[in-house]
Amino acid sequence: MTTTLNRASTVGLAAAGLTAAAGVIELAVGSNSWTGDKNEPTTLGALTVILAGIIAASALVLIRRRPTSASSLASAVGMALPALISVTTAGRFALPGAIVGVTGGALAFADARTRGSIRRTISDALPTALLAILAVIYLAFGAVAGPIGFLGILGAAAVVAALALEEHSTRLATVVLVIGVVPFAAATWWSVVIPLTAILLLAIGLPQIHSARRSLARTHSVIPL
Amino acid sequence: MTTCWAGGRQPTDSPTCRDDVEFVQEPDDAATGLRIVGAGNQRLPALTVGDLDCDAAEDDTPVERPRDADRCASTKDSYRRKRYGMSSQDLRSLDGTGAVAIIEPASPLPSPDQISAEPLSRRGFLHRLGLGAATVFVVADGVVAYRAWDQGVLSEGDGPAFEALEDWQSFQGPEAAVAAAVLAASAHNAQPWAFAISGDRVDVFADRTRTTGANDALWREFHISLGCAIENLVLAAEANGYVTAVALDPGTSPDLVATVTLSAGTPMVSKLYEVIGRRRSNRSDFTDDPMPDTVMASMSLLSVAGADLVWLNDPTARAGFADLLVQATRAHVDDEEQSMDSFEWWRNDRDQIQDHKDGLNIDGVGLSPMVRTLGKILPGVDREAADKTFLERTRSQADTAAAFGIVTVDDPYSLEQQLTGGRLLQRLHLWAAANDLGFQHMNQITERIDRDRQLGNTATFEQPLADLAGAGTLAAFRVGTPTVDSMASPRRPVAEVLR
Repeated sequence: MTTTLNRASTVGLAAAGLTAAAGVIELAVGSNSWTGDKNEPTTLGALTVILAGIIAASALVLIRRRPTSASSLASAVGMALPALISVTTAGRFALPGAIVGVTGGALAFADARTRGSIRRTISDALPTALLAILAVIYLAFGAVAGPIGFLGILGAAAVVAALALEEHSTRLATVVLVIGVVPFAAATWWSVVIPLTAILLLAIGLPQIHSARRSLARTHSVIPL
Repeated sequence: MTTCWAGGRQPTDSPTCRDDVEFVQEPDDAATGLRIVGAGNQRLPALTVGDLDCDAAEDDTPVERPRDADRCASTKDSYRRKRYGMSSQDLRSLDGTGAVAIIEPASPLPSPDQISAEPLSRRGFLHRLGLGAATVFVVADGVVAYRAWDQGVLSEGDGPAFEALEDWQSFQGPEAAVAAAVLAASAHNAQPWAFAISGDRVDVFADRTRTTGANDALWREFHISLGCAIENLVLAAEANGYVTAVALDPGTSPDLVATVTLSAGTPMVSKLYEVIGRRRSNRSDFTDDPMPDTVMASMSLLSVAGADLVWLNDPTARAGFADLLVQATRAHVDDEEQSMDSFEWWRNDRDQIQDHKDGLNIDGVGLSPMVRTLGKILPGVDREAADKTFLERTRSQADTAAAFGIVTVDDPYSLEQQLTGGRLLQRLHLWAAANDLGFQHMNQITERIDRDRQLGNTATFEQPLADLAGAGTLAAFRVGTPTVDSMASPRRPVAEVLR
């Protein structure tokens, strides 16, 4: 592991600790001006602890033996973004963790640049990242949607499953994606956001699945270097 | 340029050649017919594509993920084109034919980030355009999703403002009666009550800070709301095994409007009690279904001593009352003070609802689910927009009422009779809930009557209303079969209303 990676990982773990502490403090003291006078400090405190877990996981990714440009980049986002979000969930208590988390993210980003083209990495990973964002939306709304919420959680799982299956069976991946995504949108047709998310999941996910298959077929005619 | 190989000799020992050239072969221009303009098999800098380490992919031939090899090949070709100016034809010649390594003077190789893509093909351009558009749409969806999440689009009726509706039957003793009382109907959902429990007595107080101002110029609705709370309190006390004795307006304190004494008895769980938690005002349009006479007769049986019920269900009377309602609503929105005082009780977003736990919000307007959702996602409305919606909705509500009901008393301005009329109004509302009927209080006409009295204006609405419903109108409502399910309204919990 390079020095930069080492530093990024250490800083990221420190950020996770500070953010977790902010969440625990919010859970303990409840709503006050330092936490931003939240209506639901218990929920938001727990959410802050979860964000700290994401930061820690992102920092630990860097300890892999041979991190790639993509994994360093993902780690950078995984440290900086939750750290910033934690300021909205835990108020001023989360500021130290946010500052340290962004620093860790910047270090991981610097490492990613040394390992390959950031632009190409982003371009290659973009469809998957977009699908992941949409799946998180499904998951989040599924978690609060009452009895029909399980459809949202299943939908999010279906997106992940479809991505895992895309290189093995285009047809199966397509079926999993469609059958997983459509029911929640149908059950919450009036919610605007879920049908919109479902349309985007299919509009991005189906071409992604089929492009994976095309790439596989084209490989047979590749001229070696 | 430095020529590392020529005429079958071994590579020169030039540092540039030694570092950059893996192997070279004698060119055979005649055999290949190719014009070699750049280097062939130079050692390329370590390249990664996304998660993929291209060097590793080469080493592991055949690679496990052929798609990765494709991406590596594309990346390296792109690199050669840019770095050495090689054409696609030159690149194709490298496979097995070898190439002359003509290395440019040693200079730092560009970093992978400096290697821009080859001239964009139409396919590549469309691919990038699609990715860009997808990114924009996902970001927009994320913004909409955040707003929807923040406004609780899929978690309607959740949060501290609605807990009183869920746990009202979990209380014991006199508190159980108070827990039901806080779920009563009130004008503008102002919940103008407070309670004190002393042993087996519950005192009901008026919280005069929770007035609706010019909308209730003579405190009529305020006291009717307290009557509604008293009725719920009594029903819940009886269901919890108490015999109740209600003393209205005992006169021992300016704000003490009633004392309910509880004594041990047999629990009497009425159907009205059972629906206290799911009683809602339904402000949606009603269907064309007529109001059966049996329904009106059953509701009329709920009348109590001192308060009666008058029905307006024939088309002429309904149309006359509907017209009067719309006129009163127009006068309401034209009266700036009334409009402003009404808007004070409008809660524009979820935070306000959860903070105040009272007032009106878009869930209660009676809109279709999708329109309601759009209303939540879009920015909140201002007073003018709220007034416009109020007028439009009133017109629609009045036109679709299956029947109007009027609660009458001898003296609409007597505190005791207002409380009694309020109790009847609550019983009627609970009966409607128990029978899946839509029920909505229609206060505009009486509000204008009181407002005109307060301001000394000509009585515009008093006589037309008396012509329709007779004397002594205290409050009015409409009933019918709703087209949209009504939503829960926020409630202050027991802990916030106990003194």
